Amino acid sequence: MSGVGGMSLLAAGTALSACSSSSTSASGPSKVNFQLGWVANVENMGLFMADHAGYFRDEKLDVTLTPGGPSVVVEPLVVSGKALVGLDSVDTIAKARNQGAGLKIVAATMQTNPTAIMSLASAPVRTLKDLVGKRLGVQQSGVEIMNTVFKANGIDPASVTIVPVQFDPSPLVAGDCDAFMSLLVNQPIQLDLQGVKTTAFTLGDYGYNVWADVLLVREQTLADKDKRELVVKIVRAAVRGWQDALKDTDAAAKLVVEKYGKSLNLDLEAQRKTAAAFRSVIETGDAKTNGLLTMSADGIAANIATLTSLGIKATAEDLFDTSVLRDVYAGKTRL
Amino acid sequence: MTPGTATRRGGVRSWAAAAAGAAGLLLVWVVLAQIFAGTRVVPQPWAVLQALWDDRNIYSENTATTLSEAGIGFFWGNVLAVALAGVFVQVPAVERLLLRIAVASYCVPLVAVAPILVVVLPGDVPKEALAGLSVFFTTLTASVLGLRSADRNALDLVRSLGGGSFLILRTLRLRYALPSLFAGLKIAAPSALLGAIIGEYLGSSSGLGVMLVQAQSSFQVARTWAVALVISALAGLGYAVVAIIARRLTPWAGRDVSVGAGAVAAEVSGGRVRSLLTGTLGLAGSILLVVAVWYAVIRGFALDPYFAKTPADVAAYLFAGEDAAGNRTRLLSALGTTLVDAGVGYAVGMVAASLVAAVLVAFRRVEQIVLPLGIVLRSIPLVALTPLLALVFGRGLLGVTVVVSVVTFFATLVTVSQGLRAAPALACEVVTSLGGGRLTVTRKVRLLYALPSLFASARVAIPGAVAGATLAEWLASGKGLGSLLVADYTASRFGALWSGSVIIVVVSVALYALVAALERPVIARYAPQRVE
Repeated sequence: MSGVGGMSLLAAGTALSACSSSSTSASGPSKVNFQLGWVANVENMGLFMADHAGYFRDEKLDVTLTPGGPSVVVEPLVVSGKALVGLDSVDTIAKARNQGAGLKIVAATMQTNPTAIMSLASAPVRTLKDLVGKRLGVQQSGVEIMNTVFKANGIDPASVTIVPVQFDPSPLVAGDCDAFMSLLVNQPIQLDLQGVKTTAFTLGDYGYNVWADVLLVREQTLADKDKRELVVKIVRAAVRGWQDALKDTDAAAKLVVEKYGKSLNLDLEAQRKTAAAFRSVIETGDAKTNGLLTMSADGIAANIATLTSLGIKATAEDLFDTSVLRDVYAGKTRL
Repeated sequence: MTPGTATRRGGVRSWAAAAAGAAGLLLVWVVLAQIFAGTRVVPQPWAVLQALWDDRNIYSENTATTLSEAGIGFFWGNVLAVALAGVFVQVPAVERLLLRIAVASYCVPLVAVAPILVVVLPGDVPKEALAGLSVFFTTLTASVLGLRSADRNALDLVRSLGGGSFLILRTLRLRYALPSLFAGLKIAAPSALLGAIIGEYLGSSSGLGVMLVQAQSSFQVARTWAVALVISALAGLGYAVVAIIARRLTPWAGRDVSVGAGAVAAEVSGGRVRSLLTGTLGLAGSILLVVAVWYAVIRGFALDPYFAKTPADVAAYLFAGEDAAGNRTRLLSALGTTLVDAGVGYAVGMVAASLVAAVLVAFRRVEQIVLPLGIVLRSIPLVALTPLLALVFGRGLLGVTVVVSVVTFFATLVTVSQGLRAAPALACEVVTSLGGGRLTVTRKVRLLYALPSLFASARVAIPGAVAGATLAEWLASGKGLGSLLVADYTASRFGALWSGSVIIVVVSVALYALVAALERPVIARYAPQRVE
């Protein structure tokens, strides 16, 4: 992107949006931008493993794994072509689609939704009903989810006080709220290591069953034969990376701490425990029989059912494209 | 006693005051950590020191990343602001056209522009752009204030000697502008850092903002505080560098007999009808320009209509279709909450900062305690501060007011102190010789000379307060437009998001114009020599 200096700003922009997500030169590998949802940690260890082990290179790809953060905007980045592939959860993508974003989901990392309600072990909140009359810390993105889950389970949303929080669990520890919406595989482990005991239940038990960290691409990418082939290659490399990572999560955690999250001095112990926990939501259910990142017909049906209960219109054919995974596995269940 | 020993003694005394201030803050910290021990939101200083030491191998890389983003943003934001200020003063018509857009740049919600910035700009440029955006408007205001502060008699003298407007700009205005410009750059130093850190929240592999996110999400409280401390120290360093340069280049500031304060926004000469006409034309021109640029960006970068809404989309969302009435009600009722939040915070922030500024000027040593605190509050992202602020002040109007005041306090403090110091030494001495104390000097002389700075702060604080209110609503209260816009954003309801953002900008610009309109008659009456 260094050669745009002489062009007019607008012309440069058009050129950017046209070719920045992937470009193929006659000889070298194809440059691909893969947009992650969060800063470097074991949540993306499979992709880091694929990069480290050279699985992207094997596919003649030069992949940049772009870190995300609390304000990242994955869907616009993928729709505009700045990233060829991105990560997000199914409901967010379905909402974007309903607003006109031409996106499709091609693979699903977390087969069980890890969203959980966490509370202090000293003042536990064990079920959804227990939340009545309590203060629940929720990020803005989770408020609509909580309201629909409450309604679907016969609880008046007004009977629970919503406290706006961000990614920092300190309001729970400090007593600013009684329960905290978090990821089962992350914050409880971090808090435990800091000496704060917690208890948690997942929203999956109450009908919130959408896949998380699914791989999304835009429709045009799949319609273009060459670009679709790039997506197949990326997913294939990602599956291989995840297989390696889950085979030895301790080694994967070590890799993330020493290489990809090096500038953050991640705590190895925390990352090992978190990595092991991630295995339980990735290598589970249909992924055990069909292979990692799978999107089984039953799984898709369960996702659509959850979306419908959340009031999000979606059909399996529009939202999911299973043909990429079919090409990736080519009849096998392990690569 | 020779002047030399006096200076040396003054130096020793100011160092002693600084040390006493630091020790006091440290003591307050230890006590707070004890009080909050059960909640674990305030770690002990030694735990923070330990965390700093443990991370000593990664600070250089992360600091370099953030400083480079902040530095580039600081440079371009300020260069553009100063250049535009020069144009404003030379060609008032341009000011009438562009000032509103500059106000808008300061209060347009981040959730609306962030997707555009990351899609349109390559690599790290969005972070640099956010740093630049955070300094642009305050520096623009400070520069215009400075360039217009040239004494009218001096201007007349150069004119009578046949000097044209460019000669005046070179010989007089620039010299008079420096103290105010440097006050603006002092404000800009922590702001640029904050802008870069907020930019890193969009995604980055290194940087102090990323460290902060990682530490907070892992409940590493001591590390969070350590990073925040480093950020504050860097912001303070930036401030100090500007202050030292300012002292070298403008030794006369606060002492010169003739240095006056600034004039009001360009006055339209001629009758009421004519000024009304010019005003209307300027407004229409600004709107046309915004609409044209808005379309140009969307079409030029071929932005997808799903997230990039055009003016027509916004108009349709608010005024066409069967949902329009409902859409309007939803946004306007939230706007009501936001206006109350912003209004109360604005008033409290302005009054508090002006009072503190008055105390600072009268008793210089207080500065060593208040300024660092102001810099800390101005350079740490509110995402990191809010859990603590919400715990102490709650999530109601009080908590929101505190957050809004935090956003506006520092800029007002610096600008008003600079204005109070701009009073001619001669006039101050007259009052002192008549037996007036330091506070009397402030009341009788300095306040009058600070009027333009006070009004400049009052104008700048408006978009600041609105932006602060939307932030507080998102982070603390969960009510009002700030909360609504983030909800729309996370649900990809970009039509609602853009319409809400347009409403925020329009209201801020209107309030800004209101204060500017109040300013003219007041300045004309109390400081007529400043009106051009």
